[in-house]
Amino acid sequence: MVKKSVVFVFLILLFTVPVHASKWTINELVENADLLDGVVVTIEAEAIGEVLERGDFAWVNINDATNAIGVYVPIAEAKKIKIFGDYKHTGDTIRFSAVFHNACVEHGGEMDLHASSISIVKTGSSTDHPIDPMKVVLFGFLAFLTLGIGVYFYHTVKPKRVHGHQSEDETE
Amino acid sequence: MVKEIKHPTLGIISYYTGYIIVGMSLFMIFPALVSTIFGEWNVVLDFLISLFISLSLGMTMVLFGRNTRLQNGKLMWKHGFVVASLSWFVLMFLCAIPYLLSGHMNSLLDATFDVMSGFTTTGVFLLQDLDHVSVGLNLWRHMLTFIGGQGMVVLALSFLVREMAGAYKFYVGEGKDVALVPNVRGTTQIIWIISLVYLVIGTIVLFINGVLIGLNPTNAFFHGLYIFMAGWSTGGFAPNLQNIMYYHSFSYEIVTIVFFVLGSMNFGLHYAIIKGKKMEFLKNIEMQSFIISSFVGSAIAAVALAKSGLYTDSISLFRRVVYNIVSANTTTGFGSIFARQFILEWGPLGMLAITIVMLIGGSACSTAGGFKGLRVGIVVKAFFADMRKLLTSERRVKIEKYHHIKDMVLDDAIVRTSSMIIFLYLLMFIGATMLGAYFGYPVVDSMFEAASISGNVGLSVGITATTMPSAMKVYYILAMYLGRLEFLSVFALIGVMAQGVKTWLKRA
Repeated sequence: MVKKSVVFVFLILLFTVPVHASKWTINELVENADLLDGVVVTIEAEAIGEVLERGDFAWVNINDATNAIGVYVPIAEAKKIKIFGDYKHTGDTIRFSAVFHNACVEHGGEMDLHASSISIVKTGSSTDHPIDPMKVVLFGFLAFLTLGIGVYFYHTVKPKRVHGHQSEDETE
Repeated sequence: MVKEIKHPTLGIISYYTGYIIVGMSLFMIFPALVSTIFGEWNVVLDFLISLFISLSLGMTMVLFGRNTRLQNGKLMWKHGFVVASLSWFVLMFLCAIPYLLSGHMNSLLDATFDVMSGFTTTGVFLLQDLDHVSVGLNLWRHMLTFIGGQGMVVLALSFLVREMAGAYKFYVGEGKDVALVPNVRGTTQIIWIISLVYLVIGTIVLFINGVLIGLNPTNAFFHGLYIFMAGWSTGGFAPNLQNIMYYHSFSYEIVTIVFFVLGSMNFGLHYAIIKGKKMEFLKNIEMQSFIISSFVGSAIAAVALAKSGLYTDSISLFRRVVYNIVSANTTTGFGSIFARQFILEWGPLGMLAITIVMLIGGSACSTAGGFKGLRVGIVVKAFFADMRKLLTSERRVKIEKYHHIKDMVLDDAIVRTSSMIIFLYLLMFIGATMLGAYFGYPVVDSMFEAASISGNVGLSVGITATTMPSAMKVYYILAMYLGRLEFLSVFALIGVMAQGVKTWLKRA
C-alpha cells in the first residue's frame, strides 16, 4: 500500500509539475504549492533587504526575478550573507535546499521555506548608477527656464495679490 | 510675455489647475532631499528635472488665467469638477516623470498607471524590480498615495490661493462631501491635522515594531513611514515585492490592520469621536455596514478555505483570510498571501466573497474606494423600509431615518443618488471584467481584478502586469480615476471638452 502511494505521488509529480534537475523558481513553488507542500526543494536567488533576526533563527528574504519569498534559517547561516540587494547593491546569490511549506503552521499559515544551511554561490556587489550627461544638461536648461518663468510670475501675479481681499469660502 | 486667456471658463480652469500643479510640484522637494541624504544623485536629478517641468507648466497656466483673480471670476459647479479632474489628469503625467527617469518603468503608459494607482489609493503597480528601488522613489510612491487619499486639490489651493470663494466646489469635485466646519479651508485643515497626527503616531508605532522584528533603525523608520502612508490612505503600496509578507510578523500585521481600518473611516466620524461622540463609532451606518460586510466576507472565505484544510489554526486563519478580507473591504490592498494563492486556493466561493467586499469598499469621505458603506447601507435600509411599507397599513406613515454622524431622513433623492453611483460602479466593473475576458483571462480572475481596480483596492491575481494589453492598462487607469472621483468630475471634464470641440467645429 505504502509502495503504491509513493509510486502514485512520484507519477503525479512527474507528469503535472515541470521537472528540474536541481532547482525551482519561486513562481513554480507558488504555482505548485499543493503538490510541493513538505517537499525538499533547491532554490538559488538573491538575498534582499536585510536579515530579520528572531531568536536563534532569522528570516532572509530572497528574490529570483520571478518572485520573492522568505527563508527561515539558523542565525549563524544567515550571517554568512554579507551583501543584501537594494538600490545600491546587488545582493549575494544564495543556494540552499529547504522544506517548502504551503501554509506553515509555525509561522501563521505563511508560504515559506525552512533551510538548515545556505551557501553563497555569487558574492553581491555595489550597483553603479552613472549620471547621464544629458540629464545634467536638461537640468541646467530647465533650471534657467523655471527661474525665468518664476521671476515673470512673481512680478505679474504676486504684487497684485496685495489688493485682493476676497471673502473666505463658505460651504454651499 | 504670457497672454492671458479671454475665455472666462478656460481662464478659471487654467488659473486654479495651475496652482494645484505648482502645489503638488513642491512636494517633489521631499524625495529630492531624502535622496540627497542617501547619496542617490541620479534620483536627485530625476526629481529636480520633474520639479522644474511641473513648476514651469503650473506657473504658465496660472499666468494664462490670471484674469480670473482680477475679474473675481464666479466659480460654478462645472469649474470645480473640471479643475479637480483636469488637475488629476495633468498631474498623472507630471508625477510620472521621476518614475520614467528612474529606469524602473517599461513605458510612459506604465508610469502613468502607477501614478494613477497611487493618487487613487489603489496600490497595484507595474514598476519593475521593486526590491532595488531607491529610497527617494519609494518615498515618492508612498507620498502620492498619502496625498491622493486626503485630497490634493483643496490642499494645494488652501495653501496657495487666498481668494477661495467657491472652494466647496473643488472639494466635492475631488470626491469628498462632508463639511466638518462651515468653511472648506477649515474642513481641509481638520482632515490634514487628523491625518498628520496619525502619521506621527503610526510611524512611531511601526518604527518600534520594526526594530523589534529585526529591521535596522533607518529601515525601520522608512518602512514605518511608507507602510503607515499606504495603510492610512488605504493604498496598499509597500517598499518590497512581498508586500506585508516581507516582515513575517503578526504584530506588524495587527498594527497595519488598525491603521487601515482607521483610514477607511469617514473623516466626519473621526471628527465626531474627537469631539466626544464615542458611541458614534457603533451607531454610524457606515461602520455597521463595514462590520457586517467584513464579518460575513471573512466567514464565507473561511468556509470556502475549510474545504481544502489549508489553515488549521485560528492564527493562520486570521492572518491569511481575515486580514485579506478586511484589507479588501477597506480597499487597502495589503496582501498577506501571494497573488496567485487567491486563484489556486480560495476557490470560486472565496473569490466571490473577496470580490464583493472589494466592491462594497470603505466609508464615504475617507481615503477608501468602492461603492462606499454609506451607500450600501442606505440602499439596504431603503429596501427593508419598502418591504415594511408593503406589509403595514397604508394609512400609517413612518419617516425612515439612518444614522450618519446625526439622524438623517432616508428620502428618495438620497436613495436615488446612492443607487446611481452603485449602478455606475457596477457598469465599470462589468466593463473591466468583459475586457479581461476578451483578452483571454479567465472570467473569475477578470472579475477579481476588475473589482480590485474599480474599487481602488489593489489586490491582484496577477493580471495587472507590464505584459497585459495596453487597452487594459488604459481602461484600468480610467476605472481607477472614475472610481476615485466618483464619476461626476470626470463626466464634467468630458462635457466641457465636448462643448469646446462643438464650438470649435461650429466656428470652423
